Amino acid sequence: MVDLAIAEEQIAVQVSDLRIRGTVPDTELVRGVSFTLPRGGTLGIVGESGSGKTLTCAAVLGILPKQVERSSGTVEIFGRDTANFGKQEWVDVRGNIISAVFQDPGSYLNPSIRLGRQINEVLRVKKGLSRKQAKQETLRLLSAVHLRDPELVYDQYVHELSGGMLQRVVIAAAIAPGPKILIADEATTALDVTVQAEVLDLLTELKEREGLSLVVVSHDLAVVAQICDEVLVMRSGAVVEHGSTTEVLHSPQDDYTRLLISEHERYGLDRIIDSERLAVA
Amino acid sequence: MLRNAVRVPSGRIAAVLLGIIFFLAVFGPLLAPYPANNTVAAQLEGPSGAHLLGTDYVGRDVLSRMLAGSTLSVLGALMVVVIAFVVGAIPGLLSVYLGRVFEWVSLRVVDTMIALPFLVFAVAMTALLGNGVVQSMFAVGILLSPVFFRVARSSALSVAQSQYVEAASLSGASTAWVMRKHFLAKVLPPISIALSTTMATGLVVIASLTFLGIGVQPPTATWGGILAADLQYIAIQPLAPLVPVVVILAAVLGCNLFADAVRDVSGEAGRQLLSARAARKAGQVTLISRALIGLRKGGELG
Repeated sequence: MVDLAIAEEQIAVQVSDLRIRGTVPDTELVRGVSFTLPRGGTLGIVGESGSGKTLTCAAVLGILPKQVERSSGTVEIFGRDTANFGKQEWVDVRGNIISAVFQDPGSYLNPSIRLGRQINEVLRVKKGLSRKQAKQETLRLLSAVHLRDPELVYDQYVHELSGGMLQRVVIAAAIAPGPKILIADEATTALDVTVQAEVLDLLTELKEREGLSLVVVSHDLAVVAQICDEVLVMRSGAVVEHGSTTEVLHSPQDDYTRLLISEHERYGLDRIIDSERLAVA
Repeated sequence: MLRNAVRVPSGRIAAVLLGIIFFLAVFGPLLAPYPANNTVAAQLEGPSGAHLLGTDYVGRDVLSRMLAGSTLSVLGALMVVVIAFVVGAIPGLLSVYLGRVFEWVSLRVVDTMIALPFLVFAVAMTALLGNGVVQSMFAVGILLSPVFFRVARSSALSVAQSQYVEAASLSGASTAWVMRKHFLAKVLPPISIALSTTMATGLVVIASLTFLGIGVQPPTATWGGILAADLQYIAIQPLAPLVPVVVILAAVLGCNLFADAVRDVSGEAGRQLLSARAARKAGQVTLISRALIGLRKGGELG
């Protein structure tokens, strides 16, 4: 077991000057990303497809795809440099300390095993619970993620639930071993707007109740603005803007951030509602 | 999976057919009314009270020969299937896992096997290993193994690339554990289908080898052998080939229906089918009988 001095460490994730390169063809995919996620904090990473958000997260989780490698920079999880983590150390860290949920929750669940049993498994392997304890804990987790009928969901299969419900199940599985850090990589992207809002509320609630530190990755500025204290705007592998959410939203320094915000102003629902209200008046 | 297979109609029919076939295989030789290899009546008689299914070209009782031959026929087909499974499915699964070298080599070997002409290979095997029942079954089994190799490999590939397998191995699950937990459910249904269709092929192929004088030797009775012999006298006794044909057909049909049933109830689609059936039984399903959408003239519907 990795001995992380978690109790006193106040910085959950510290990434400094992270560079990632693809080996085939030889290109730099992430160019010097740095950020600090304090314990209990919420960091948002915004950017278009291919801007390197997901690779940055993968590097933090130690799951970079083949043909992609970290060329320089450090990633520290609770003060421990992950560069020299071996396989066993990663296994101990993943789930127990850092967890992640991704887009398309359905594909992370085995379609022929009942959902409850898949969460059970996590609890039994990672926390060494007995069958009975694991079932109870699973039911508790399912209700903690606001699934209306945990008993029913426990015995259901992937195809029987909607995308929003599946994302809740996956979140339940992700927080089952009691991690301190949760990475939500486009976790709400495939969901419709109301469900997305519910899942975001859920994440905020879990953050407060379970003391999680959150990294929320999205291409949608609105998602990040809704729950994050701090925002990182990325474009083609580099950070173009970094600051507190209010700062970035109200006085963006970079042209790209301004573009993102102005697009929201132009196409967002608020504008239409406002203009209708004006028309009525 | 087997319990579920009986819940669909085709599964029930298959269970009855296969039940009869296996009953024959176990008790058939004991039930034969006459000795199978002795002339007991005139040649090529039609069905009569004494010889329910008539007699063959040397005056042997067809019913007795069919019953006596059932054990060897069914056991032969089973053995072919087991050999094909072991030689095919296991390397097929491993080809996904054991790295590039094994993958490349095994794929080339299988390609070569597919290219081999069937009967020539069987004859060559006999020349190499000697002419015998077991040798011929080995030949057939090995030649049918590419089916298993491909089926096992393709379904294993699709699971290997799935994200839940990736997630499992990232969280420290061993290869053996991943195989057991995630692969079996996905790989078993297509393999069990291959098993039962191969069983059917095995029955027929052993017959065609007997016809060539490879494997089972006359006068030992097998269903395929009886069919081959009867076919020569079809002009004199047109009904005779019908008996082995019907039995072989029933066995093949049983196997195929069973395969069908297994496929219907297993995997993702199977879960859906079974849960839909259960729900329908319990009357839980409310179908949307009418959806009313009013679209105003000149309006838009998003």
